[in-house]
Amino acid sequence: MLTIDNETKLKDIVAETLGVDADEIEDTTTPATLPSWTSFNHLTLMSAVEEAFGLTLSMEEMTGVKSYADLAATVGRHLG
Amino acid sequence: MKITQSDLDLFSAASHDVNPMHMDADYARKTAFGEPVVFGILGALAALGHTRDRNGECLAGVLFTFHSPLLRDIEYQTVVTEKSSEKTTVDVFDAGRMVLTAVFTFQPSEQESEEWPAERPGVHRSEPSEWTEAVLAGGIVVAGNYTPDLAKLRALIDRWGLRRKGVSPLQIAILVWSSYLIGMELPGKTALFSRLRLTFETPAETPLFPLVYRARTLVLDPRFQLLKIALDVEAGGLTLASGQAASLIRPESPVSSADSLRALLPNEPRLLGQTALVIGGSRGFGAALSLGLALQGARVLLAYQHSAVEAEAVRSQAGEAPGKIELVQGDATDITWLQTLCSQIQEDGGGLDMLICNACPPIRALAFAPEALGRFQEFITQSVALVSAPAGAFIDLLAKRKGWNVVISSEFVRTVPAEWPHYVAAKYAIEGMTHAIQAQQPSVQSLIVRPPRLLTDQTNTPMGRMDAMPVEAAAAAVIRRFSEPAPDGVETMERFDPLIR
Repeated sequence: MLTIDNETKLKDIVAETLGVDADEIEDTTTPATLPSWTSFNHLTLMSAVEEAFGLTLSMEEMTGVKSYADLAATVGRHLG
Repeated sequence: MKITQSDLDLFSAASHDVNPMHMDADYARKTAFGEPVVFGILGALAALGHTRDRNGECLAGVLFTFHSPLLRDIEYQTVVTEKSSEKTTVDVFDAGRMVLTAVFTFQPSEQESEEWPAERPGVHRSEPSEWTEAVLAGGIVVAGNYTPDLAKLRALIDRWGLRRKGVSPLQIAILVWSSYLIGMELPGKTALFSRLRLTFETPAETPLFPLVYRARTLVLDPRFQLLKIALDVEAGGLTLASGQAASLIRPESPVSSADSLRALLPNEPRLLGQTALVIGGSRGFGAALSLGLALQGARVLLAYQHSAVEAEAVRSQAGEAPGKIELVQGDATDITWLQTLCSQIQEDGGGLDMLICNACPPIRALAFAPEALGRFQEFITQSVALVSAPAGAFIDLLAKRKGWNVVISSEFVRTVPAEWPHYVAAKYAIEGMTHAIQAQQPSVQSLIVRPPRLLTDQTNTPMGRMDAMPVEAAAAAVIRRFSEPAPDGVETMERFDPLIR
């Protein structure tokens, strides 16, 4: 579970990387609902999240992120 | 918007970017994209042409994201959005699939935006740099002077209607420089431009060319070969732009290894005296199959169309193998050529024990949408022709020896990747055709091979490589199947377990 500050930070990263406004990002946001969430942008997003939160995601975690909710949960697990 | 080969030629001449991914059809054919791709910056400039005119403004910054390479002669759709008066976003789609996002930010300017700097030559490379991964990971700096071909740059601006778009010739020169930098300098030959963020300064006076640039590697992420680079451009002592670029580094084409195959195949040759024809045998899975069959003692007729160098490399790898590889060059959809080859095999007093249809057109991401139906149907037609023509020519010869009719399908017929609907449809068509041929000619043994994602030129992208199976493992499993009891009807092979010795 992310703190409110980290949730805001994560949404800002997603919004910046995927070229949308932060308030457009919801738990149900997926590559299918957001055209700019392409396979290349997925890599860019994972890289940006790692850099911003100072963590390293495994390949399984990266490929396991299928939605914003998955991403938030993954980051939450790392931050404890 | 549609970009043609002449547009690539003009952009290349203007920018001095001659990266073979864009300008060498033979080189590009052997990449995951199968043909030359459009310069990313050219796509962004074409997108800029779709924005409204801006008087009294100049470019303050850009953010380009190249989601997927643009290809020639495709009618792309553009969606222009202005969330504020100073910011325009152009999203470029291919039949609903986003391929490029270009964000332009503007600011007021009193300068005449069409003022041209005087031309003084810079220095540019004629061949792209080639850096090792270790050098890039260690960090390097590239610096130099650059002047585009100004006559060609003018033609480029006119081609895409870029006058009055709030972007000065100098700024367009900086944008085309970024293409030159990525494609020719850093990372150079293996580049796939992915992202560009630039912030422009507005000098009080228009400086002279050449641009003086400095690019420094920031980080190379080894997991998906993503290189981030810091950029600075100035001229005449005036800072003009700075920012960051990202480029994927395309890995070298995977090449089949005879040693890997030997380790996966039985020690003793089990296919001595047998003849195999491998359609599409020069690269990827077909090369591994050809090589493995020769290692098991078979005479292999390796059919290829374009890749003579790669075909010869497969033959030479067979070296002292118990079998041998003979190269046959032609179009595997040309029934006349195939029938002539069939006659030659018979005149040589031989028969055919295995027909392996592996060839497939380049697989490019495609949406199932009305705008893409032409490409969808063309892909299926080509795919089916690459199996139906060889089967039509050789099935009777194959039946004489109760030989194997082998078609290469894919596990994707079950998992169905969203971006490859044409590929899935083609593989289902080929599988259906194999059942029909078996019903008509029960003497043959039919094997439908459904390997998982294999590491080949077709999948040699950062995401495509993830979890891809080496071709040798899948090829060895297929070859081992030939020395086991014949199937009853059509067999579908979906397991590719390593040999347990």
